[in-house]
Amino acid sequence: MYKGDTIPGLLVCGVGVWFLIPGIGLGMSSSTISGVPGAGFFPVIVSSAVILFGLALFVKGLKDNGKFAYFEMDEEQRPNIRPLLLTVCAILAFFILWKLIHFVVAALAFCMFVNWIYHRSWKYNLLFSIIFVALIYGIFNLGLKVQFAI
Amino acid sequence: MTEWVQGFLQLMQPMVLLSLLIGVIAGAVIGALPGLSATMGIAILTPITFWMPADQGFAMLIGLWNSAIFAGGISAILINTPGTPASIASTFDGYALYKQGKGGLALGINVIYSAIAGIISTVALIFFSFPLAKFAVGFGPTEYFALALFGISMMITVSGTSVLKGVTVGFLGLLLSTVGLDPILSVKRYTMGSTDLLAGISFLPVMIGMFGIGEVLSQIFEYKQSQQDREAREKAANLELGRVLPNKSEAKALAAPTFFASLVATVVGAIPAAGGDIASIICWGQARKMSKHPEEYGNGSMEGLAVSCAANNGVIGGALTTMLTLGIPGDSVSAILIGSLTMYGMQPGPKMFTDNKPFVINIMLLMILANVLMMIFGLLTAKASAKVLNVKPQTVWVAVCVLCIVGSFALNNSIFDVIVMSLAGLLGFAFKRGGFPVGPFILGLLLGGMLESNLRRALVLSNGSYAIFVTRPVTLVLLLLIATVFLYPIVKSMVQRKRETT
Repeated sequence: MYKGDTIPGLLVCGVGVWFLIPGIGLGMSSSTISGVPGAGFFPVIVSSAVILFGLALFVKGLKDNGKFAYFEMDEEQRPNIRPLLLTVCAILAFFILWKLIHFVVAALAFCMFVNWIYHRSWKYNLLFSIIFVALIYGIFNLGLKVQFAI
Repeated sequence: MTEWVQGFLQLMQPMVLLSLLIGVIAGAVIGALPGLSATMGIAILTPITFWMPADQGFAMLIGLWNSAIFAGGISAILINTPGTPASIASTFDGYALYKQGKGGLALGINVIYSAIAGIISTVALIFFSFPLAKFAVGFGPTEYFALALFGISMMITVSGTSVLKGVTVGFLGLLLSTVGLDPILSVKRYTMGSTDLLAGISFLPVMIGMFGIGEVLSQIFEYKQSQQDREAREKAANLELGRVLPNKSEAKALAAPTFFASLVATVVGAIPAAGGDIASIICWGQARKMSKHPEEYGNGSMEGLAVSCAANNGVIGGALTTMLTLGIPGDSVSAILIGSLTMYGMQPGPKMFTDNKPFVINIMLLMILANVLMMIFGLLTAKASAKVLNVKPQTVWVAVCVLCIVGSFALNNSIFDVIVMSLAGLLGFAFKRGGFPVGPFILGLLLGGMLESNLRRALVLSNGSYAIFVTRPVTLVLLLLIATVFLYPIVKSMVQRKRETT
């Protein structure tokens, strides 16, 4: 059963533990000067605090009994899930195309695809994508000499 | 005085003025569009400015910052939706004035009093930053440790409704700042064998991701056609705008309250994390109490609008005072500017006033020039500014996504920064949906290095004794302030609970 802040609380605890264990290995005090903190000193303090706050969040989630809902949306917003997920996928695809082919192709494909999922007309889509990508390429590559090869 | 004249002549170069103008125009567009904040604009534009000389780059960023804050009032006045959070109080009276057929006057008041307040706060910056920097030169590691902690604690207490969530993300930011080489002993920490992580996680790609991609994803998630239809109806109303400039008697009546609001906003801006939204609400409330016509407030009061407009731009000078003299960001925008200065090889703080004094003077002069240019541009385009609101949010989403990807890559020509930016975007989206404020995370990541290195340096100086933190007066005062900041809400709720039971 999901109760408000419980899962995020546990996730925060997990992050804290993930930093705490190697942090202890780094050493709390320096091996050269006695009493002077070592490389693990600060991470151990901060990660311990993060674990405590995560636990507090977990307990708060249990106490609130689901009063606070994450990613809450109403009926009108439900169709937004599709464009949201497709936008995230499109960003990933942008990187792959950039690596495999060329930045310009990747940027053009990205603009056209997301404009399509946002229901823009094909005429607008084509015009916007070409002009915008040309502008970006012109400013960054030709103007600022940013090399897009990766 | 010679330095000021030299600085002024340096800024009169055509390329600097052109950069300033581009910044002002970009800021006006970004600020006017609801959903696009000054922080997002600065985060996206910063990578472009790295490729320019420092004067030009900063001219663009400062132009954008001032202009975006003022332009947030345009949509607040015309469609009752603040363009940036700082313009929230401008909706109280601005929209009512527009409905009364005084939209042009409201737009004029917005730009005039925003610019005047910007200039007043810059004068305060000029007067107070030099003595403050002189005082701060004597600060040691304990003072800097306490200052960094104070900055983070203020951000936690003012952002969002849950202090627990604020403190959690603040500490997560601090934790992330420990990735890379240890600042004292250069020991590798959490690098997982990656050379990209040796230098740590740069906060600029994180900011671009959180305020760019994260914001876009959030807007897609929250998108409501009915809201768009409402805004379209407001735009379609296309009411008569009328005159833009206030007449002599109106200007005279507005002088005193806006001057007072500018001063209050400067002080509020100097407090870490207290931004334009807080300042404008405080000033609007105070001005109403002191007004001869409090009943007009909220129903189209010119005074109410002028005060809120003055307050949101007045914070900038205050935020810059804290940023330049102490190296502590007053808000998210000044956090990015700290990153920009670092990339230009300058470290904000008292030493900047000796090591890079000409550039500090240039920043102050740029603030004045930006406000003058903003006033001219704003008045000339006041009636045409409504056209900006016709841009559809979907167009903005596509443009912001591409600019975030390209911008984060352009920082270091590194795909690693693009990956960090994308992950930060997803994290920013998740934070927003879960009610976790993003500000403390960013500040934790930015100030983590300062906090750790000064804490450890202080302990090295004292041979491991923590007494050093209570024997230095400035440190002690700051630590007591931090304790008060955290304990006050707890004590207040306990007292309230006790009152309710009795």
